[in-house]
Amino acid sequence: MRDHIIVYLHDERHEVRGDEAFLSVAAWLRQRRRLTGTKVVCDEGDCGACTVLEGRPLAGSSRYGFRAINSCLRLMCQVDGCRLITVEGLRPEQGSLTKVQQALVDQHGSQCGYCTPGFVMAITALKLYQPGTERDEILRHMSGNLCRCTGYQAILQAIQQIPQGNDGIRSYLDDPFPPDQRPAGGMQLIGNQTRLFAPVSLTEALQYRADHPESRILAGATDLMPVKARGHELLSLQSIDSGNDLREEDGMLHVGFNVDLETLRRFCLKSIPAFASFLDQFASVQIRNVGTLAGNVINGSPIADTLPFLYVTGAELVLERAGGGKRTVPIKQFFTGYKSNVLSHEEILTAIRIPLPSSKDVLLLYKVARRRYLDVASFGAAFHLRLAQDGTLQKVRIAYGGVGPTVVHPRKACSWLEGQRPGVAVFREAGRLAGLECSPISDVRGSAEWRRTLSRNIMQKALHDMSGGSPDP
Amino acid sequence: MKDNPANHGASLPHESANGHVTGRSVFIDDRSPLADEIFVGVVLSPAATGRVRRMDFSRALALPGVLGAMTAADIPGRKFGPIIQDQPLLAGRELSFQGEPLALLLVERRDILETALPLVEVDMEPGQAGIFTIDQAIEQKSWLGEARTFARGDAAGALRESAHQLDGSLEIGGQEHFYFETQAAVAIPGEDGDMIVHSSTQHPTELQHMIADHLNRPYHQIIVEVKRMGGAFGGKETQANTWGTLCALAAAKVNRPARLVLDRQADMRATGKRHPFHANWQVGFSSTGRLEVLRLDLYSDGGAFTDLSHPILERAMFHCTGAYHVPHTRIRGQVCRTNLPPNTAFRGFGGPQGNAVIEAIIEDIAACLGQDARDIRLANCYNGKERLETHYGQPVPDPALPGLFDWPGEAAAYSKSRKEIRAFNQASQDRVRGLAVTAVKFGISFTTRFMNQASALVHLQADGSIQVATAATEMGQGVLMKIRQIVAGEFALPVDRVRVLPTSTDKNANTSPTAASSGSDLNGHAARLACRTLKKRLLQCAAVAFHRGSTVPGTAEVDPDGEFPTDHLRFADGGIVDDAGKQHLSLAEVINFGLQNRVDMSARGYYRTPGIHFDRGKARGHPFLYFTQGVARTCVCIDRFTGELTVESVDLIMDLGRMINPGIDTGQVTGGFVQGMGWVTGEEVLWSGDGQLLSDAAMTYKIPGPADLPEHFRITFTGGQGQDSGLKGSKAVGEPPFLLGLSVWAAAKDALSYLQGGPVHLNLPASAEEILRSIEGIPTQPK
Repeated sequence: MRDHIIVYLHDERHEVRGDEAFLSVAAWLRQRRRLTGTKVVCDEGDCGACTVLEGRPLAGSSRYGFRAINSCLRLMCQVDGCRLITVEGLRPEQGSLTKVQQALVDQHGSQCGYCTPGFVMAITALKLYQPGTERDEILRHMSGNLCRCTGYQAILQAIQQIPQGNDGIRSYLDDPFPPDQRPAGGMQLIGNQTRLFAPVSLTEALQYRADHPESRILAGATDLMPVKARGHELLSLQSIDSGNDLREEDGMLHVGFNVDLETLRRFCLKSIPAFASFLDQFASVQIRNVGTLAGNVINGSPIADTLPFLYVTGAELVLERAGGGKRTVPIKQFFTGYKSNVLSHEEILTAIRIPLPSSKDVLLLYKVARRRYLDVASFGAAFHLRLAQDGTLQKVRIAYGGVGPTVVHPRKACSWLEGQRPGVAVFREAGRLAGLECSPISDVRGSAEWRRTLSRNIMQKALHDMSGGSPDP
Repeated sequence: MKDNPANHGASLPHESANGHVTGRSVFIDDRSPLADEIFVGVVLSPAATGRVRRMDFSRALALPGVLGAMTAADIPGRKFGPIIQDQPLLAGRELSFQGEPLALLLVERRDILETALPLVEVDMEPGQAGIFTIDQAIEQKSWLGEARTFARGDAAGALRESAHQLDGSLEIGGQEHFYFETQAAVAIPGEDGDMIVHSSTQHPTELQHMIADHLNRPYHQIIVEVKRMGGAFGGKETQANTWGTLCALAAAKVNRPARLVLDRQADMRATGKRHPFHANWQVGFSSTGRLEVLRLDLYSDGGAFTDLSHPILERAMFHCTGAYHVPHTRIRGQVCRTNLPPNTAFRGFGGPQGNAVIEAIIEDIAACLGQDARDIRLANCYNGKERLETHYGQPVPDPALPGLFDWPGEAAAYSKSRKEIRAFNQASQDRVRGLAVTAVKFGISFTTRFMNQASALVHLQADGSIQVATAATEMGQGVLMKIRQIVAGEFALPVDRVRVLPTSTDKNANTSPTAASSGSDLNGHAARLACRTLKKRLLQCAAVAFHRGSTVPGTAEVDPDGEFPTDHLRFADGGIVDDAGKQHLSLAEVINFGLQNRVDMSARGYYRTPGIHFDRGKARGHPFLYFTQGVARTCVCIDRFTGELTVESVDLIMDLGRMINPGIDTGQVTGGFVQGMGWVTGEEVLWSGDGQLLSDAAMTYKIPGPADLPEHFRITFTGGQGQDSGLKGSKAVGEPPFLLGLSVWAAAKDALSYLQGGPVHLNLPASAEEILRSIEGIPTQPK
């Protein structure tokens, strides 16, 4: 077992062990490596100023794939076998600036400069694999980066001028680890107050879980931020390849425990486009690149973005324990109260199985938040239903987030709608019934009153969207 | 002597653009730690009221690496404040707001604080229930200072005689600055009690004075230096003082360099924000919508201490008639004292809050008369003729506004948009659109007259390169590049021959803050005057050298104040040439010739804004040098079911005169507008019932993101027909566009009036929640 991670910072190989392995990548860069181009502004993944590139080997290739991450939310122990590139590591092919940097200079895309390195890195990631010239594409990709000075217009103009390409990071695309030096095997990292075990097989992980029921499981860790992760016994599943399982089989979508939300989003573009486009609103690219669907389920917040979707599609959760014990729990039976669930201390959520909606089904997903992107929802809703030949509603399944201690399934409203023909009066009554089944509270994301109104109104919105959004001119 | 316009009007990149995009620009916390440097942690008050019985540091002090603690007992009896000194640097016994600094922990390394801060035990006895809203303050008559009144004409009589009257009230929310770089300072003790403090502050002089006062040292021992700020927006005009001073006190105590950098949550909890306002108004108007009279009571939430609340309220009172002429006014303003952090300067400085009131009134008059709000605005806009004078007596002789409202194509674009919106709203089942064009007429000058002065220091180096130092601090607004352009332009040099030195109190003393949109005007003028002095000397030198046909120093020295004819000489081609084009000396040659002749190649410039005065007793005068004016036509779309708002299009037209740097100014306009848009829509400062800030992180406080940028966003600059202006025909730009963010809110009101068929009550910010409340007719809940 290794007692350290191996990471490349630009071209420099580092072994990181002990407490240093539990620093955030941002803190490690700024305090230990004195690379202060990477800025920490919010320290919780909500602004993108700390964006750096994280490279991982592409399957079956000696090349690296790079993606943007929030270095404030990433622990050093998570970047084992990676190559990190910060703004200081960019190597322009011509002159002293990369094309991204030059465009930002030319277009006045930087004022105070504090958010700028994060933008540079996020734009570099965007331009690596996509043209990134369409306005919507840019804004979706950049929604994880905030700027308080420019009002974004100049940055958008700059991005539109930058050609697709790898200017600045070309020399890093090759795998820096010769095959015989690739970090292999599990890791056991030991800090003063924090320990982490990262096995390569699920069997080992399950056994560890059985032996250490107090351990916390570390997946993307975007919720278990660096500070909260310290002082714990951590079980990291990141090195277990089987966790990346993502496939469609027998009308089901199988999502392994390591599958990140961005990979999932891309995978769903064809099979569940409504879910894919809904995931655009999930946090930011930086967070989706590391956060997992399994993590969103286990976090279990009643306002977790994906839960209403998983409820209405009838998703099942596969829970495993050491010695081959395995059970499948429908998501509706998984949660027992506010952030509590039936998962025992010996179990691990190993897969989520989502029945694929049929082409006859209507799937509508809503997230209402203070800000459309990069925000926690104030209210969420999912509708899954079918319009029968005779024009009546069948198989009506509705779930609300943010109006109770767990996801709310408004039973009375669903049974009221079942068999009815869609119409304003019918849905208004459904909204009234649903409202009665909700018990929202007031908090920083909105008042109980607003949420109650939304739980009624969303029925009208669903009715409108179901009928194709007409008759708007 | 003519200006060389070579650099005026060039859209050169920001002074530090290359440093910013490469991450090489150094902000306070990017500075390499000095040997022996300590870190300073701040213990913040967990309660808004009550008394501290005892603070126990013993457990924290027992940790390795914890060097010591400091409390109010270390700085006895001293209070501070920019105008009224009523705020303790560290709270002693009495607590005034949650997040108030109570004590310092001095540690070897910052990561120790994570463990050490929670070990500090604060034993408190609970106090009376605090005051957390303007309503509570009014009820309990909890004031900061006296009420002020601006009166003109006969408000009561005019109200009786007006054909129509309306009244209403408006809640206007605060706003968190959310500068990206939190409050930060590094203090470095030197010999004999000297100290250099690097701070992220807009007001180095005030910090210098405050540090010296708290250390009981003469001002000449303290130097405050500012290289740049990672955003400020007014939040570092006075409120950087606390942290810079605390850092200096810690450094002095251990006689080691010290660093203090607030984390985001501490910054949000401990510092003041934009003032929330409450407005009660009555307005009288004619059947054509002509404003006759405005009676207005403004209450602002000053927080626990005075800070800049009074001039901020005053600016709200100056701007509460906006771009419109009101013959009779009675404006009363009162600052409330609450148990919240002391609210402070924020881009617009009360102007936006004042302006919100009149734009709301205009929308309501339009809805009441069934007329279009644009027509009402045009009917009331200053026009330089019968609608000439503001309610505080300053003439607007040359108003750009009617011309901006009626800029070619504007009227047609507006009515086309109006027609489309009407059709859309009739047809749409799920959405409703709204349109508004609002105006800004922002008064430029500090309303406190003595602050309108600036000095500059310019050095001509022997190689012909130039250093300039002013009091302007760079916070992203591009002031340093503008000053470079001004100075380079004076000598007809490319800007890279001019370097702006970090702003520091030893190069220019007794300076004003960089604020009030005046940074370029004041400091640019001062720099230009210094250049003028040097140019005169250089021309004398060149004239002599040309006359002698040699730069070899002669027996007779050049008299820098001499009267040698220089009319035939000018600055060009990197030096001085004569009109015939026969003689040329490079700048370095002239400078060296001058030095050989003992001519001073450094100069100071001093500028004071001319012609401004204001009689506070009579509330009349001429407080502003000029106005920066503009209009914004904005279209929004609202989801009827959720209240979510999308800003679809924005067309901004501004008169910024002869812009020094259109690229930088465009950035100020876009950024200011979007920040204003955030203030009126999604940015909501939320407090718990006992005064705890709930929106205390980026996770819970939502500034606009990239996707909130309106799809159509066009800015037109009119090029300035007006006479009144600032530096070299340009106009100040920092704050004015912020006020145009109000067009988003006015457009939301307009949209809602389609649903309700009359005046609509909409508080500010118009969050999705507030909009849905209005749609559903739910009365406002007290927050």
